[in-house]
Amino acid sequence: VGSSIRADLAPVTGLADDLAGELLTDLLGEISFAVKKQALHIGDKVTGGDRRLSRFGTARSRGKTRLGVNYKLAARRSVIEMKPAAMWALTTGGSRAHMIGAGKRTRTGRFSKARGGRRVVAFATAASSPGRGKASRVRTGPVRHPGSRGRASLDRVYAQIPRIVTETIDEALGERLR
Amino acid sequence: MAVETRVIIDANASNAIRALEDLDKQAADTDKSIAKLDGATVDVDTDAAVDALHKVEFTGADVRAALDKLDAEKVAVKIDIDVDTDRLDTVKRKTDEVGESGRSGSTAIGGIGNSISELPGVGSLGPIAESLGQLSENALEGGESIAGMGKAIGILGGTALVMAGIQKAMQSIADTKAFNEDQVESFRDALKETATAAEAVMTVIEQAEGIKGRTGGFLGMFEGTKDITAELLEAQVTADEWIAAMSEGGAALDIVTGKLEAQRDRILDVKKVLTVEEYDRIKKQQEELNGAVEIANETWKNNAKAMEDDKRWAEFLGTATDDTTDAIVKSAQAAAAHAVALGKAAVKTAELELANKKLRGDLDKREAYLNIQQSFDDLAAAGQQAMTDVATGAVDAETATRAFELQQIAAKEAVLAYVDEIGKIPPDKQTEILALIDQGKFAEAEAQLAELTGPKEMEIRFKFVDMAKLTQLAGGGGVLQPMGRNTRTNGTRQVDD
Repeated sequence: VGSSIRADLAPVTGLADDLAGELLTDLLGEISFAVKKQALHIGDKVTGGDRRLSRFGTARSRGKTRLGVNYKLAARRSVIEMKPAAMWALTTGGSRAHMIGAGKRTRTGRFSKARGGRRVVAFATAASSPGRGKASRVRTGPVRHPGSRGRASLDRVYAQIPRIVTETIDEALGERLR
Repeated sequence: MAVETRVIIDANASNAIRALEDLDKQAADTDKSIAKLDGATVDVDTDAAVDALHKVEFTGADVRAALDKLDAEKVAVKIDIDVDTDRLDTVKRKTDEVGESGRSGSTAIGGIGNSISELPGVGSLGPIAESLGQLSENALEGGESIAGMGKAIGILGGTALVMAGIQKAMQSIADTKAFNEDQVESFRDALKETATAAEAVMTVIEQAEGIKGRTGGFLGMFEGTKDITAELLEAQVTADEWIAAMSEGGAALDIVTGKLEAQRDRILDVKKVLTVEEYDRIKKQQEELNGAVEIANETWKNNAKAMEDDKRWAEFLGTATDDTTDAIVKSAQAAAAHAVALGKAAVKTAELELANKKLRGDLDKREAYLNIQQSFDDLAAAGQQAMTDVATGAVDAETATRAFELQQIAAKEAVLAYVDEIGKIPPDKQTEILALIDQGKFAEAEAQLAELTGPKEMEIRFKFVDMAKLTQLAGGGGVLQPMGRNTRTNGTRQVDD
């Protein structure tokens, strides 16, 4: 029985044609979907399981907005977007100390109620204020937010991507060669 | 703080595609190279290769000696056509490990592959598979920038790095190819130099128009020695005589050396007053003639050796000098083909050995079992005989009982031998069976034994991963181990939307 190294290597070298065609798109799709799954999993972990931030958003959207991931595939490119960006950013790096409900700062550094100042629901654990005690937890005017720690959510997602890419490619090419 | 929440994955596989196409081309070239060695195609059928070896009428030692004769630098790899039992053992051991340890198939196959790659001539393609296996590491390298920057990256650009591994493999193939070509060339050169040495001497002398000024040159035998043409002419040694002396030796050589010595003596016998210059000239001539005699003898010795080599080559190849080149090239092809086949042969041998072992083990057990049945039959017959003998008064009761007891002991021994052979019967069962024999319940004892230890069909199944074919093909240098692992990319939790 004659044997040809070329013929025996055909399963491997044949990948060239596949890679020039649909295989590449398939690979991208699988990679993107796997990244999405991983990102959502990390979203679960940083938010306690529901991918929601309890105090995030306006009164209308509060509790409804969740961490999500979309991806779009072109022939040889996949764009993976983490949405809403603010939630991912917040769970990644946290926030500095800031004022809530105070409107925007004027040029002199003061807050102007006319520029977006609003009535806010202060925190349930808000410290008592002179004359009001702890009884009222609702107050008008600026509330100081002390800032928060991030949970490095995006960092964690990005850190997983090389592994995901590797394993997905391994698996896909391995199946082809089997 | 600006946070990038988009990841762009650009898939650029052009490098990978190019590398794979190059690999294909290299494989085709290698095929051609092998085909060139083989004349047509490489025969990797084990039986055919073994047959071919049987047909080759010289031993591995001969081929090795011939190879050793070649330029040491060119023969970087020796074709060892002796089946090395140690290496086969390695292969077999690895094969055993597959069955015994239950390790994951790919790892064990990797071991087998590696051990096969230790076999001569098989390892050249190994890195191909290995480089594919490196996919993970390199893809990781390619992806590192994501974590740091979170910017657009070319993931599959990382695959191009992977393919660098394949390039390495291609280099390996190219080297192998170069080696093969070198080898054939070396064989031919060696033949040109050694096998046709006698002709070369003749040709050189003829081309030199007599023996004029050409004492050096052929085979480098005379390099660094003196031109003796003038002396030969003065001694009246003809070209024919010189050729005869160099190619036949013996009497012809005696004639030449005789003439040279006579000339030397003639010079010594000159009876006249010599000038200092003349004396020096004669003295010098004399020395040169002495040298010429030595050279003649030396030349013959070298020629004789070369011719002996020639003869040996011609003899063991059984062909004329002109055909010797082809014969040796063919032998090299056979050796190369065998080396390729050896990998498969090794695995096959291991399998055969296992099968043989199994068969032998089964036969031993079967024999022991049949012995038991026979001894039981004998025992029953002995009992019958004893009773008949005692009843008819042929022997006395004591003799009959003794004979029966001896038969009983033989039966017990047969049982114990069988138990040893099988090695699986618990001690209390053994005792029970022996007790049944003591009580004369042979049928029950036999039934118990049959139930416990009757020959059972056993199936030994090897589990190879599907990449085994590629592994074998590629010489087993590496296995695509990281591929096809079971873990998917996700964690334990499933996506719920």
